Amino acid sequence: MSVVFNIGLYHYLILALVIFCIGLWGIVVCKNIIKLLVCAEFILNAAGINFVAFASYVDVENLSGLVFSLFITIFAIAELVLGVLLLISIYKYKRSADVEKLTDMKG
Amino acid sequence: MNAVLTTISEYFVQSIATVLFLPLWVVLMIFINSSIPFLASKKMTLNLTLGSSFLGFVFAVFSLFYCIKNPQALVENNITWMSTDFQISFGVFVDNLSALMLVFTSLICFVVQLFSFGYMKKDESFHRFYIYLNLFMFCIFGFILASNVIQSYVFLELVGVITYLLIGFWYKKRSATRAARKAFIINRIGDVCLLIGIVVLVYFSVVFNSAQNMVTLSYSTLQFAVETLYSMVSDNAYLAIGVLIFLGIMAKTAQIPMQNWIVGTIEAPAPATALMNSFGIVAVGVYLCARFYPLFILSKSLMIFITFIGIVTALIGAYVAMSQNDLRKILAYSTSSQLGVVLVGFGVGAFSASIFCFVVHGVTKALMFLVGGALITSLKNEADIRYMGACREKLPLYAFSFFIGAISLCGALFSGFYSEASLFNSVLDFGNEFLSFGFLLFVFMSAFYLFRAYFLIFEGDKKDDISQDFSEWTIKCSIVLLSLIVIFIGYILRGCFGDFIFFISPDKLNYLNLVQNVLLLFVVFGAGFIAYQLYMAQNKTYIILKEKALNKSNLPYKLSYNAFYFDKVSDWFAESLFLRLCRFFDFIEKYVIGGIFVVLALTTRVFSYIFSRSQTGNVQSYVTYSLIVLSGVLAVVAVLYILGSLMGV
Repeated sequence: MSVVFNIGLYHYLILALVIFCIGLWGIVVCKNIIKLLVCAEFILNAAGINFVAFASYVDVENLSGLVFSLFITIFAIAELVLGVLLLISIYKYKRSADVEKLTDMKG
Repeated sequence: MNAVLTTISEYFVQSIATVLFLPLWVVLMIFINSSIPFLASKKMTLNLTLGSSFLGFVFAVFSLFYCIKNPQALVENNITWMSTDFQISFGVFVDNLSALMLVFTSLICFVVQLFSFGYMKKDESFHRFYIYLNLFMFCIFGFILASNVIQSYVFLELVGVITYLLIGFWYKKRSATRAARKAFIINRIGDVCLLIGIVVLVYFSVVFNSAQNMVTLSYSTLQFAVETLYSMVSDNAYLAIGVLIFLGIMAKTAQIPMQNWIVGTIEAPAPATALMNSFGIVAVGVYLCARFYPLFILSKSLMIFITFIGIVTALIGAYVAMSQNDLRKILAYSTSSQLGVVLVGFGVGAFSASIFCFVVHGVTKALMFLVGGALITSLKNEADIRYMGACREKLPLYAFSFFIGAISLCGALFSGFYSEASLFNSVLDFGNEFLSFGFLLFVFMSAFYLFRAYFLIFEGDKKDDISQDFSEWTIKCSIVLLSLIVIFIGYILRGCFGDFIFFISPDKLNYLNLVQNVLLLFVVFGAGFIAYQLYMAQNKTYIILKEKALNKSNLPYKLSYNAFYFDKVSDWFAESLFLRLCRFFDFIEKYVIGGIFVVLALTTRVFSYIFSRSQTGNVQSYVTYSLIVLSGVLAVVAVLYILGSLMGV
């Protein structure tokens, strides 16, 4: 039982993997651009969880993992802002937020 | 006084490069002047141009004075132009020959520019004409003052370009553009030969003289260079180099078989024609021949070649001129034949007599072309001498100056007397009977066509009463000035040659020999008498003779009238043969070489079409593909890793 409830590094890694897969799956299948952005956040946060987990279990005396996860958060916010801006202009232009309709790069 | 003069002339000769660049500045000024819409002043253009050529004349006279005072001194100012294994410099070079040429070129430029003001006043491209004249001055001065062979070649090409521009001045006339193109192409053939000759000369000079580091082929070291060349290469190679260089000279001086472009010069405005036929592009050829004289004189066969070409051209040109009806054509063919005689002079070794003959011919021919141009304009652009007649009463000045020019050109009186007699003396000294006889025949024919033109234009019955004297003061002024020059220049120059204008050894002119002079005068006035009988007197015998000679089916007449069909042959060569060859190559270029590229382009198109189909434009599909590929790669890596650990690597 103690194995089950004693939360260790592996639990965090599995959690991050699951979140990452959800994000990836969402990017592949979702049609709405807002959902795509949310899924991108999932992926980034999975990476962030990994950093924090390794920082607190493996490399305890060093703070670089924690700092890096902070950077990822800031980066994610910036990316989100840009993404929403692009989304708004695309919506103005196309009157839709559907990814499947954005096929201007078709060869 | 003398010391002051010496100092002044030294100053002028040291700053002679001013003469070269002044016309360029004037071109800029005229350009600015002519582009101001309402203030563009023709007077100002004229004054600037005359100023620059007059200044050139002053510089040239002082340089000549300097060269007379210091017969062996050469003035050479060089800057390095290109420097590789050997140096090519750019500079000015003044010796007695270039000073003499400079004096006459600037003088004739001055007179022609003065004449042009009256002649071109009503033309809408007045300023353009003056710009061309100034560019011409720049090029010809640069050519005369060039210090080495390479620089000469550059300016020679520039003179060719200006000739093209001047002949094609009235570019809306189809005949003018055609003539301009023809002159340019024929000159180009000569230029290519000349360039090959020069390059070979430079090459051998580099090979043989690199130890002494004297390979600039400057004119001051040319004699040394050609002597080394002569001692090093075989006779045939030397002959080939000489012939190549002489081919360039032949094209410039309108010698057989490249003479028919000279007729095209009549398409230019009359003053430009006068310039080109006197001290223009033909002067380039003669000057080049004089400069390369050390090269020619070493080889006996070369000198014979030059003499042969010269005498054949002289005879053919004069023969053709006898039957032409266009006044300007007569004069143009006359240029070709007179220059042939100048080359004969070079060939028999009479350097001074040739240069003398050339200078006198240039001045005289300029006068005759100017008079002809003014006359034709007075007669409402009627150039056919058969429809002129009795112009002497209404246009006495033209008649008088034309007569002076004609008499001088055929060597009877005035300047022509001295030059022709001294050349005849040298030809007789050469000792070839055929050559002497050919020379006499040439004199006879020249006198005949000149007297024929004079009688038909100025004497006889009035055929048309359209003649009116329209001329401006500048036209009259320049014609009077030039007539005076033609009368006196031979008398002034006759003593100078041999004293200071010589190249290799002093050769005195010998023009006073009673028997020869009487013989020449007899031939000239005999020709004049025959012309008078044929065209003026109403003698039955002569009329029948004339009608027989001018029969359209008469072969000698046909040959003469059609200029020995040289024109037709070259036109056939250009239009039938060469153009067809060009079309054939054009076909190959279009359909064979072009086809290869079309096939290449089509292949690319097809593949791009195929591959661009795979781009759906849907971002999610791209993500899916890359995920699949990534997982595939990961799977392969994993399998390899597992296999590796199983194998125990």
